[in-house]
Amino acid sequence: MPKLECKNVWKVYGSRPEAYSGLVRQGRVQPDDIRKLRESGAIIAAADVSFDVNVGEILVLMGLSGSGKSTVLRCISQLVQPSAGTIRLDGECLSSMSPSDLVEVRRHKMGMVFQNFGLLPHLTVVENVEFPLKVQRTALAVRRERALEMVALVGLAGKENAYPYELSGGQQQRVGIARSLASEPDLWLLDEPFSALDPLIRRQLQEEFLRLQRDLKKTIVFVTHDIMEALRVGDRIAIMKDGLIVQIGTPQDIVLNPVNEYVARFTAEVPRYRVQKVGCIMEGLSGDLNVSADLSTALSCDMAVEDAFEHFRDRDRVPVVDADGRLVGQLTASRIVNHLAKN
Amino acid sequence: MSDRAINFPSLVNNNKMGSAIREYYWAIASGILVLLICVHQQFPGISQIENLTLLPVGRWIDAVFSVLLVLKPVLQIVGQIVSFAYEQLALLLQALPIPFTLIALVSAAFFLAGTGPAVVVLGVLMYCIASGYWSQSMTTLALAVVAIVYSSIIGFWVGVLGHRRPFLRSWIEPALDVMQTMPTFAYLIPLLLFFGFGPSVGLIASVIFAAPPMIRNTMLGLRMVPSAISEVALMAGATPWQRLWLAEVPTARSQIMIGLNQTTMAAFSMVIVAALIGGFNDIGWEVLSSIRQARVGDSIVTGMVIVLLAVALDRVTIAAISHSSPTAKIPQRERFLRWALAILTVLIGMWCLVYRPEVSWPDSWAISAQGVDEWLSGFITKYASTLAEIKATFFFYFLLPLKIGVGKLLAGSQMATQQYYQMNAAYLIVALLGISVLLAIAVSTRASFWFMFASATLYFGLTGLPWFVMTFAVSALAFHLGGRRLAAFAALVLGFILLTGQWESASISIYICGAGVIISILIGTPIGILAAKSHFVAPIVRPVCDFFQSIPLFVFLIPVLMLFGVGDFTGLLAIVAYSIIPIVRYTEEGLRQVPEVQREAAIACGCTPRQVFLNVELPAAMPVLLLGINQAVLFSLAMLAIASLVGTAGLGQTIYVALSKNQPGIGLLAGICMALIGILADRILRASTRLGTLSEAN
Ligand SMILES: Nc1ncnc2c1ncn2[C@@H]1O[C@H](COP(=O)(O)OP(=O)(O)OP(=O)(O)O)[C@@H](O)[C@H]1O
Ligand SMILES: [Mg+2]
Repeated sequence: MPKLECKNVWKVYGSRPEAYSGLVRQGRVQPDDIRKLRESGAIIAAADVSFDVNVGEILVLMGLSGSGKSTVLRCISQLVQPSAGTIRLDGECLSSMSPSDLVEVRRHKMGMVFQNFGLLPHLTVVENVEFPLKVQRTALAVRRERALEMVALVGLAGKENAYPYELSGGQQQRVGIARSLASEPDLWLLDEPFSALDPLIRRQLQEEFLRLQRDLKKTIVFVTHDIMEALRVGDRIAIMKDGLIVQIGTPQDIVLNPVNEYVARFTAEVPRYRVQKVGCIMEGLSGDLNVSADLSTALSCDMAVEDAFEHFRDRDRVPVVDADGRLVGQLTASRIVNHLAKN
Repeated sequence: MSDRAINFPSLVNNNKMGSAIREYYWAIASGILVLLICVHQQFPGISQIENLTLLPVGRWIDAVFSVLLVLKPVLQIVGQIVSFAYEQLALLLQALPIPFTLIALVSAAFFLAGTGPAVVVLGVLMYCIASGYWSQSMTTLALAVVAIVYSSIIGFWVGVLGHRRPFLRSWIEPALDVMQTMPTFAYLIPLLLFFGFGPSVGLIASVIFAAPPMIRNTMLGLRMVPSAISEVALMAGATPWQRLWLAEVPTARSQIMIGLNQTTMAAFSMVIVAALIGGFNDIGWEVLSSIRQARVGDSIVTGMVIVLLAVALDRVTIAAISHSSPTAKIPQRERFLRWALAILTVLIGMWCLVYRPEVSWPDSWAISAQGVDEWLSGFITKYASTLAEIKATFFFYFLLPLKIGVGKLLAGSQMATQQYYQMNAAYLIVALLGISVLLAIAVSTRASFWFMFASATLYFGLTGLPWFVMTFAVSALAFHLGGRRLAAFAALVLGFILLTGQWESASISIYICGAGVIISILIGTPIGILAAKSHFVAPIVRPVCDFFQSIPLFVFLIPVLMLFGVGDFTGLLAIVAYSIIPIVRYTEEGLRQVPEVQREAAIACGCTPRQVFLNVELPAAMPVLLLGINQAVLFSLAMLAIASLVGTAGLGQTIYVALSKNQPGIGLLAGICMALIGILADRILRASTRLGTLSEAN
């Protein structure tokens, strides 16, 4: 069973809330239907959004500004009630939960990083980070220790007693990240968590984030604008447009098999070798391959082409093996160069 | 339209009229106006109010009250509970030795607000001692503190409730408008009925009067909390209660503290006024009795006590906003001083306990009313003729024409025989009509309409203007600015005033307030412009404005009363002195907030400084200026009620008389009429700015 399940989630603002309900029942929704609804005056922030996220998996929501990413995230956290559809966490339906149960879920199972940080201006950095524990009435010493740990984790040690107005945008964002981790949530919702950071820190935090995730195995929904970030952190990526998910799949899928022009434009800038696997561009087995070559230096089929570069420092042909270690082909330097030139 | 004319965009926007009506709107309105005036001239009987059937609303209210009196026993218990806290505090403050109270209050000010305010408090208390009014000051302080505590607690919770339950908010807001625009005297009367004479009436009236700013600012502050903050609390798993206390209230803190400051000032002001009905041994009562007995020196000395106490309260609560904010960093030196002061307080307290010292103030230090008295009466006798002349000139050339109209003035003057007057009047009317037509052709039909209305006003006088002309003009304006709903509201308000028989007093009130506001605009705007333009004027004007605004209304009357005696002119001066404050403030504020870029762009286009001012700064500042006028109108109405004490006629007078005769119906009715006029003026001016509200304007 997936950890988090979103099924046919709709969020409609403005007047005419009944107009879309016909579409909900109809099954598959087309962009044209949505356009017609919009023209009739409804503000459709999320339309028929469905996906699952498993334990330890990172799902990235991507899309242009206003495409409904934050809305979906807020529906999951129940900050807004979805107009239709169900959201289940551990098999329990969130929208039908009583307010007090919801408080419990939020205290122990969910953590959220806000797009606009949402720091409390009257609290210092540590006090902000320990806020979720404070509302659970954790003892001061315990929560202070945990908060200091989190502050150090995001690299803000030394700033513990600063107030938000004394921090830069990037520093504030890191406080928000630390806070969302303070209560050790299972489900971690991040709304553009790294957007206000400079490229160096961003890179560093992304790596830190992935390292954390390898240890903690949380269930993550991650919203971003930045395709490179999406490719770097996502196990799967969902691309949204005007409230609809237009494509959902692995990073490789999205880059190599875009379903339409919109998705393709998103990924146009991405160098293919970042995502393409060695197996896709290798040559099959042929006569002149020296089969006796030692397989210990062989490339694995599902390695990204980018990562294969360094194997060509001292030779120009390398064998390729599949997941079971059987020889399946070879890759030559000239083949790679040809391929790069084509893109 | 000529190209020199400044087109204020805010005045012509947003109306949903059809374009045809819009195009001819003012022409049609002008036509109707002329028609109405002709009707009045031909059939004067129609405009006689005596010919109308009036609704005896006053008596209905009386009847309701006689039923409500059943509640009296219950309410009196409430009154006793309220005054219990006050009595204990007053006893305590009277019993405590002066040195202890002094140091304790100064230390408290230091803790809450820092060094500057503590020094102010020290100075003020010294003055209280020196003037010999210590005990009265302490009574007043006890009254004020209790009123402040009650009204801020009630205000805070009502505000929270209004924030949490939107359907309640839609009830609370209009109720607040009424509570704040209704003259305080008006609800003193029913309170008197229920609670009887004594301090509890004053306290309850103060709480009612002072709670609205707290309610408004609490609601405003909570509404302005970024939604992200509430969401963070939600996501942290906060219960609604935790969300309020741990996230929303702290974030809204500075706005709520502004509310606390306003509530404090309102409560203090009202505590002083309440001396009128239940006074005894407090400072308001001292002022009042010295005014009544014409002890000029005493009234000045006691008036100063009030002014100084008000300044101290204002300084402390304002400084506390930033000084005791959780994010404020307290320097080491101050921490040390805090300890020192706390220890000193305890030591002095113990010393007083052990030795029970009889501290007597050296006589030579005392401030004597005698000296002030002599000096002032000398001044007044010396300039008596000049003062009388100023008063007479002003009255004859400005107030009287506005009040009874040029027409009557001419008719009344001896050289004009009846026939001569009629002939002249005919010429005048023809000339005026001619000018109107010219205006309509050369400038706009709107200008022509207002010219006609202004000349009719001047001719008939504000009190002589037929009711239907007035109602029509105001409704036409309301329709233009705010559409059908506002026009209907205007017509309803004026209709209510007419049918309840308050038209005459209302028109006198409108005349005095109108004159006051016009003078305030004429004097205040240039001062505001100067303050915005000059680095020398601003630092003088601002503290002066702050100072005047923190003084209870009542005190304004003392100097003008001394110089000019009772009458319209004195009331007018008090109104001008008070309502000029918002004009100056908002003019400065409006001009200062014009973005530098706009100014630079205009200069770069080659504008002269004058052109920059007329074409860029003034239009950009216009909405704020109008907001200032809006405030001035409300201020003038508030002052008008108080000014009835010095013999100004009108609704204020009606209320005051009802107060002394114990007639709740007629008093409340007049109060409601004043509140309605205030609210109507507010809505109309607000519609013309589309900016801020009564609430957010503060
Ligand atoms: N409370 C609301 N009332 C009305 N419309 C809303 C509301 N919240 C969001 N919307 C609309 O829903 C749409 C999606 O908004 P959302 O915040 O989810 O976008 P987003 O993808 O997160 O954009 P960004 O990348 O800029 O954060 C937008 O068109 C927005 O105008
Ligand atoms: Mg967003």
